[in-house]
Amino acid sequence: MLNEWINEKHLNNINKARAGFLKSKPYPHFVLNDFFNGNKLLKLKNALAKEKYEKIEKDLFSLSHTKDLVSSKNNSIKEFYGLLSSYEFISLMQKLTNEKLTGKIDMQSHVMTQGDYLLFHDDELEGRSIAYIVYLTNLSQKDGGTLRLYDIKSPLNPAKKIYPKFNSFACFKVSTKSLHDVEEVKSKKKRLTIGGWFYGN
Amino acid sequence: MAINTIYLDGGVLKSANRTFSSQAPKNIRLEAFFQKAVFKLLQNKLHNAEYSLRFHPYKYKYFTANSKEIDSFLKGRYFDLMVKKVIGLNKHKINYEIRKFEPGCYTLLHDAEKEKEGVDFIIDFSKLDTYFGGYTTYLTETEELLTLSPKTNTLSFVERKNKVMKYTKYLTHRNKAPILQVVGTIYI
Repeated sequence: MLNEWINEKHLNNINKARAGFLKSKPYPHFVLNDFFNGNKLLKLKNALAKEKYEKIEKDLFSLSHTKDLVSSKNNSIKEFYGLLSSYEFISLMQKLTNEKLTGKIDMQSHVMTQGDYLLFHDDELEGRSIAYIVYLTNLSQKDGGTLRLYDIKSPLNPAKKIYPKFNSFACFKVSTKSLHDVEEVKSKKKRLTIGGWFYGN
Repeated sequence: MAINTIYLDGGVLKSANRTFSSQAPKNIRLEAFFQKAVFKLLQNKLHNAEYSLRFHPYKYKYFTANSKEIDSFLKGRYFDLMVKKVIGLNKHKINYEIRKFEPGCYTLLHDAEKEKEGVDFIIDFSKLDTYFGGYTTYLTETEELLTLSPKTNTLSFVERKNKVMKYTKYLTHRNKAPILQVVGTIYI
């Protein structure tokens, strides 16, 4: 299953990716480009167009999201959910991050359009070990929608900026220090992602 | 600091008090609050004041300034009259700040439930009447109670009782002008 879904170059470079994850600043994270099989991911993206998204306005964010995709009836989405929650993928994630994972995951899809944003928070909630994002559209710096990671001691300037890029896979370690936000989407481009958490003990 | 003379009329004040008291939560917005010339003067002073950033990532981001004109207005007889007649408080103390919301500013609900109850007020010196975000929402754990959008030259009062919280929504980058408000709470 992994060979079908994951780009071979990443499967051959796990130790290097883990080393990068562990030493990255402001807290452990990685961004792996062209991570999945591009055709399969495109099929998944098209399947998401038929899912129901609900727009939510809160003090902390403005965005649209699906229910947890575990309940999706679509075959492409089911296959992807199956992949990320599979023993093989969880093992891969453990190797990439050095975290001990239980196999439990959350998975939602998010859409952000012009004016949507997600303010500072740390994701910390019991059991959440690794946050992940699968990017399904491309946005450049001027479009906004950048994921920004901050050193908790200097929250005025991001320590790391992650621009949405189709088929890149971003993860970071969740803790009380994993301060991050998603910059407001400033253009008419759509920011489409799948994201959630891998749980640990 | 001359306010609109209709707000000196006993009948108008009585009716404003009835409106305030009949809402849940108790609230009222007085439109065209200052006389036009006075409003323009104060608005210009506030727009040209020197602002400094107040920022805590989990709580708020906005700019504040000081103004002796605003301070003396809030301690003066006209504001006192509004507090007495419109919201019906004879003795009170005030806490306030002058807030400028540029695109990217916000307040969050964090710790809001610990705020001491009182009657909040907003005097609005914004230049526009339409903004994307920047509104103030009152809510409980379970429901939204009231949303106040920015509106130029208005004075709003909202009673905030136990368990009612508020936040001011993130102001997006589509906005062409900042929101400028005097935001405070009247305590008994």
